[in-house]
Amino acid sequence: MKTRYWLITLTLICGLVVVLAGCSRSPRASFYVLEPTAKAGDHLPAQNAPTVRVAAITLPEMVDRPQLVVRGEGSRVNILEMHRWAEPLKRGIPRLLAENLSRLLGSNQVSTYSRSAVSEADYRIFVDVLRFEAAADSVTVDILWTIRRTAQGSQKTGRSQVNEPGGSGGYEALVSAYSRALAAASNDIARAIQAEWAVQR
Amino acid sequence: MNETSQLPDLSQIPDAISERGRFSQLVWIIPVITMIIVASLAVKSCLDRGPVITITFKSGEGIEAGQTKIKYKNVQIGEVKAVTIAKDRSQVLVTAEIFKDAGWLLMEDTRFWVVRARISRNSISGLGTLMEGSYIGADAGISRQSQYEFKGMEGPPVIAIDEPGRQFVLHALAIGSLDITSPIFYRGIQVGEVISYELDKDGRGVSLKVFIRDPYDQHVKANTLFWHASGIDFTIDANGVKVNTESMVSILLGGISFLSPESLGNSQPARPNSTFTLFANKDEAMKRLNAVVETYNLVFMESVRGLLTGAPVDLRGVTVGEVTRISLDLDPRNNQISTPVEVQLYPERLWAFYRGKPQRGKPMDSRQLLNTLVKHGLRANLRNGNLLTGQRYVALDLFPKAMPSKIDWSKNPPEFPTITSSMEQFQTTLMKIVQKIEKLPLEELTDDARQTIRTLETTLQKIEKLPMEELAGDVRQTIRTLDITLQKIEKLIKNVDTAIIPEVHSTLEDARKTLDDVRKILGDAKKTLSHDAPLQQDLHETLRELSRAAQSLRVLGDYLERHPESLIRGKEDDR
Repeated sequence: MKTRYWLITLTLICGLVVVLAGCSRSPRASFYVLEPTAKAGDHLPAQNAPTVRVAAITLPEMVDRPQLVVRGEGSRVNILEMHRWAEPLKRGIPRLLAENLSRLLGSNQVSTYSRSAVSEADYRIFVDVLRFEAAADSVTVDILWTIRRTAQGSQKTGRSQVNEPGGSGGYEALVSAYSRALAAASNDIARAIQAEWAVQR
Repeated sequence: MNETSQLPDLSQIPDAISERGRFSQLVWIIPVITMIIVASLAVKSCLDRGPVITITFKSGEGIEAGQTKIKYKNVQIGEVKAVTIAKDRSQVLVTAEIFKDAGWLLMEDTRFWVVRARISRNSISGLGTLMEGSYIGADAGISRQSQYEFKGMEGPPVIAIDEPGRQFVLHALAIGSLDITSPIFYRGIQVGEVISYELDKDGRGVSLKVFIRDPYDQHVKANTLFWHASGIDFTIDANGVKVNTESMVSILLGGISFLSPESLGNSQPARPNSTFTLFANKDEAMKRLNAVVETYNLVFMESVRGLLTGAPVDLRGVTVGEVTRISLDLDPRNNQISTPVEVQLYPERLWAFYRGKPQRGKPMDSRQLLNTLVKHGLRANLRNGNLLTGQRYVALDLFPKAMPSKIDWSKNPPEFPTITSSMEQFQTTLMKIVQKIEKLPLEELTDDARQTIRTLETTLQKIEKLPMEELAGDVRQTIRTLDITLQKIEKLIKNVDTAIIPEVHSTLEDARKTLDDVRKILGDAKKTLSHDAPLQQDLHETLRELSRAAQSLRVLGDYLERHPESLIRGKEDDR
């Protein structure tokens, strides 16, 4: 009887060990966010600034996920499970662009609200992100953007291809390289809007 | 009694008297009676036995001794007894016995033929003989002369001897598509058949025997015209397009039509076996109708294009002749080109329509008749018969205004006066118009005008005399009444202004309020439905959450797919 009791106790302990092993702690994930880095321009007085909406954005499916994606050797791609975006890129990129544009145009009327109801905006921007890739030490951002004048329906299209070195700061450096690249693209867009705005006025 | 008396006195014995002769007479009666019976039987059999006849046929096909019957109107009247070959081998001799009671059928024109199944172009007959075997048909003659030897016919007779009707003989140049049993039509009805045909002895024509049934045979008159009605007769001429045919049967098999022209009056019915000519077609037949034909020359000074030989010469629509020749006459002396047109006129037709009937029996001299008509303006001119084909015809008509002219009888053929068609017509029309203008009663018209003016004058005078002042007063009064009426109308309008308008106003106000309410409701609805409405916002937000949830699920699924063990071990660090 005694031996049998012991056996039961032993198996219970073993099971517990296995279960507890399953409950081992996952490694801590790092979260990253894109930072607006554009400098505020002072070309336009605030009251004259155009209202802008970043209306729609498309992303390559490859990077449209919470994890950071880094290209490896050849055509290999690493999806970094423990390095994640704090917010989905589909939201983050428009927000960043809006922030940058707001600073560059000196306008506080730049939003990311994509609904067409907010058609009071002077310009609507459609962004088609063709590439949003990070290599080991640099990032490449390729954006095709379209600025549509709401009133006349006229539109202007441009493309920004930015290659930003990441330096040696690890993934944090890569993310800030992304931020800088997007800031450069924002700069292109802002210039285009300013040119358009000047003509319209 | 004594002994001596035993001896008979021989002398006293009477002699036996022999009665032998009497007996022998009785015996002889028997053979005599027998002979009488035999003789009577022989005579009876002889008498009962019908006549035996011999019929010659070209072939003995289907005839068998002791089996083949002889039938008249499908009733047996005899039987074939023997079939032999004639000594000259050319024929088959059929010996047949006819029943005694049918002996009277054997006359010299009685006909016999073999009935067997026959299929010809227009009939199928004797199908019954396929089952029963052929028999010899008979057609009893009407002659009084009896006969016992006959020549058999090769086919059944077309017409039974006793069928009422008459036979006629037609002469034709060629037989065409006709054959025995070809139909004969009278006004489209089949009234008879062709019985037989044979080539004339001189080989120049064909004689057809035709049979016309009673009562149609009475329509065959002495002047009846027969013609081939075979096939379709299709002609295009100045009279237009013509398609003539008697019937479908005649199209397929040919046939003969006949008609007795009424224009030549009624004549006596033709005698049986009278001879007629069979014409090739109706037109030819109708032309022969005109026994009297006179030739005239028409000299036209214009083009005769469209005129063909055979074109009709027409007198107000009635054909009285036809063009036979068209030629050209170049006259260098007068520098003229004329076109003489030779025509044949049928004066009989003119007489038929001439009212002043000539002396009985002898028709009026056509020369005299035409002279009279020409004197009254009868001229020949060319007219368009058929616009489609451009055919022209010669029209005879009365032109009373034509230049006086005469028939030139000195020439051969005589020259009939013509008239140039269009110009002359134009001139006469013009003349008529001028005459009408001349006849206008201009003087009367001016008189009328003058009278009208006079009437006008008197009317004006009457108007002057009218009592103007009274009228003016009336008018004034009328105007006053009108004024009052207008005032009343004004009042009415004012009433409308004061009483009705405010009501309308309030009604409109109400309507406006209602509309305002409706507008508010609509505004609310708009707000609810608009993009910045809370409902919309909420919906949008929910959708976004849903999409994020879906994305998270996708990522989770993705990860689990790659690291299924992470369910137990948790995530691994990136290497």
